Amino acid sequence: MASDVPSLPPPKNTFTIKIGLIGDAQVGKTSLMVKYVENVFDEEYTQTLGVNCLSKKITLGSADILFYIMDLGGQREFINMLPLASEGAKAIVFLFDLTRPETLKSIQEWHRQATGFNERAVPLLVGTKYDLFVNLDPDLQAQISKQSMRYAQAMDAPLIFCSTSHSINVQKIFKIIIAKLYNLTMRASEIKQIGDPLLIYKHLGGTRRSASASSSSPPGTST
Amino acid sequence: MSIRPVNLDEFAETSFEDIEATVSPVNWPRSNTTRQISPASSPLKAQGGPPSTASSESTTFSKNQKRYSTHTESDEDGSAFLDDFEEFRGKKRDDDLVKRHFIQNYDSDTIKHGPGIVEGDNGYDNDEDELATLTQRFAKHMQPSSTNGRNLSGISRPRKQVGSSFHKQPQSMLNLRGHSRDRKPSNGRPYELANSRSASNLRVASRLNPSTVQYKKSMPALSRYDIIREENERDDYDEAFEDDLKFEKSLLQPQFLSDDDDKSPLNLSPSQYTVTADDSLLTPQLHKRHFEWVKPSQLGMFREPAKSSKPKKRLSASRRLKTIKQEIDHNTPMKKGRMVYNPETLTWEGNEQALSKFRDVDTFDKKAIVIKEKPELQPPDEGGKRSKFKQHGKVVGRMMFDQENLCWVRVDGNEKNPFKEIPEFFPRTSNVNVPGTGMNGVSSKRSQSHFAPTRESGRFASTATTRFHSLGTNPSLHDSTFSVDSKTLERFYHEENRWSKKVGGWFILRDVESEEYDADEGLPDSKGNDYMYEIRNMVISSARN
Repeated sequence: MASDVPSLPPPKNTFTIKIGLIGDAQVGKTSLMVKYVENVFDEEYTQTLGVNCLSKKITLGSADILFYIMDLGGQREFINMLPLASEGAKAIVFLFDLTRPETLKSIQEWHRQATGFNERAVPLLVGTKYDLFVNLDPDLQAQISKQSMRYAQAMDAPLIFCSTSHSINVQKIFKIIIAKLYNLTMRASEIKQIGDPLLIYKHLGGTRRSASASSSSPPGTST
Repeated sequence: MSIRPVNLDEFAETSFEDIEATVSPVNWPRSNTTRQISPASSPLKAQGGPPSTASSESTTFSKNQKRYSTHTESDEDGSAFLDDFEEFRGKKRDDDLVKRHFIQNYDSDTIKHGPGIVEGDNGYDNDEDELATLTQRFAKHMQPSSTNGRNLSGISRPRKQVGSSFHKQPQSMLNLRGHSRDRKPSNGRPYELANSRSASNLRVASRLNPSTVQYKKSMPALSRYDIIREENERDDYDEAFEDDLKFEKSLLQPQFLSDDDDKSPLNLSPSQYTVTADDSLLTPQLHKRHFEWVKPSQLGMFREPAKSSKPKKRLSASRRLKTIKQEIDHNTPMKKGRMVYNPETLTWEGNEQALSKFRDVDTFDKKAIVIKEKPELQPPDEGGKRSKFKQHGKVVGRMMFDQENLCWVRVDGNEKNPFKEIPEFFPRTSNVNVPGTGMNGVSSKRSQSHFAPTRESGRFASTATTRFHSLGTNPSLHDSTFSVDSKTLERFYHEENRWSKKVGGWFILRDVESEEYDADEGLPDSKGNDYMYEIRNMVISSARN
């Protein structure tokens, strides 16, 4: 018993946060996940044949945050596994390719189906491949930015433009999730200028805050 | 980029037992913890995914056994992580702070949402028990007074279930659920709800003598008026309502709406207005770009700071990435909650109302729009002579607005007058040929007046020159607003002549043009009383004669 062994460190709380990554094929879901967890980026495309899983633990002293990231293959043939990635998730990240506006259009269907399984998850709208996006015509950039903003408003989801290859706004995605789940205030200032990697989160995603991440305290877990 | 199928050989031949995961749901004990693991603590424990899901070589995932594991990349520096939050910025990283923001947040969430949400309907029976207890207590205290109250009203009323009154106050039910789960009452009165209106009523009832129970707002059933009103209501009210109002559904169809109502009110002429969707109204969060667009070489300024990760032994990405594969193909229909999988369309059907949020985004008509007049059609401000086109300004289609005459005319001049062939209604009654007739009347000279000859215009001038006005004006140039027969016109003609002979030589009322003429000629101010002296002189002279 813990009372018999005073030297035993106190039980550690672990806040488990399951995150689902959802979006069309080749938008960069797996790349984002691997980039965040391992900080590596591979140009080579590897098709996800099902659901990819990675987890990442962040030690906060007396508590840990454990991200369970589940990345659903974007091909239609894997959509029957959508419940696996969306059910029980605290946050669902909807990804689209900034250079392919049709992938933004698909977010409607992804959102409908994912929220059909989980309405309480915090949604995030993430545009990927920002490094390629800047090569587009400025008018097209503005058009895509505005349209994605409208989607974010409709979904009540924070909007983030990211680049996995250039390490732009990757970490912030997951910090925004933490901020929304635990009502924390992020210090990062929003990026609102069209053409920049948009980071708009303060007034989005707050109304549907899901129940807080679960807490567990395995005794004897070493710090 | 190339599409490359996953080589399964690249995955480690491990099951979750082999993986050295720091924290994994399968390793978590279920008891002997200060904080019990909630059923949702394992992200995969509860759902298990569709039944077709099976484990791949490298991942063990089974719904029945609830075993799941992935490799966990651990030990990111929590200090750096928390620095991005205001609540932790610059503060000592003690456990209390973390607990305050994370653990307490969890507690409040649990209270707020209630485990009933997490656990589904499992805890509902307890709620019902508590509700029944409360109902009994309420009935026990309220029965005598309520009976008296009804007797006072003089109306016998079938007794309703007391519990039904609770249904009128769902708020108290919610509170019951929320409080009774997680918190044990400190005062040992387990069912007392501080914030519940019904609870406060119960407390009052328990303290006071039942005979002294007073009517409160939260007891609408005790109101005399409510009793009477409820007595008049029949149980089969809905049916009676429908019986009384049986009607043909077709009568509800809009019968008097024209098809135009279906058209968009924004069906504006594109030649006159520039209708653009104003994105800035819809996306006020976005700012217009005021400087150069980001070039690929400038991407570095947005780069997130690299983590100072310690070099450590890491598994390769391919080994650490676990893939859950489906055992059966995607052609198997399945159902999950309210969602139904359609293998033909490869979609989950259901939750269609979620699409309504995007309806406004995709439909143009519902966007905020800005309607502007085309700049080239604005009348220019330049002075001097202007072309006819510019002078008239607005052009809509083939029509151009004549700002002087306030009417629309054809731009190309091909004005067709469908009434051209229609014969004039008024016969030319005038046999007096007066030159210079026109819409503005007849110019006339008055030899007897001191004033210079003026052109009459407008109805005031007709007083002085009625004779010439009526005779000289071509009636065909006027719109025939009234139908006047020839006899009446002839009578008017004679009356006018008689009137003109009588007063025709007196004076002329002024108009703008005559005033301008007077001013140019330096004549005395006509606005003054000079004309009165003229009248005086005329009267005196006539009197002398």
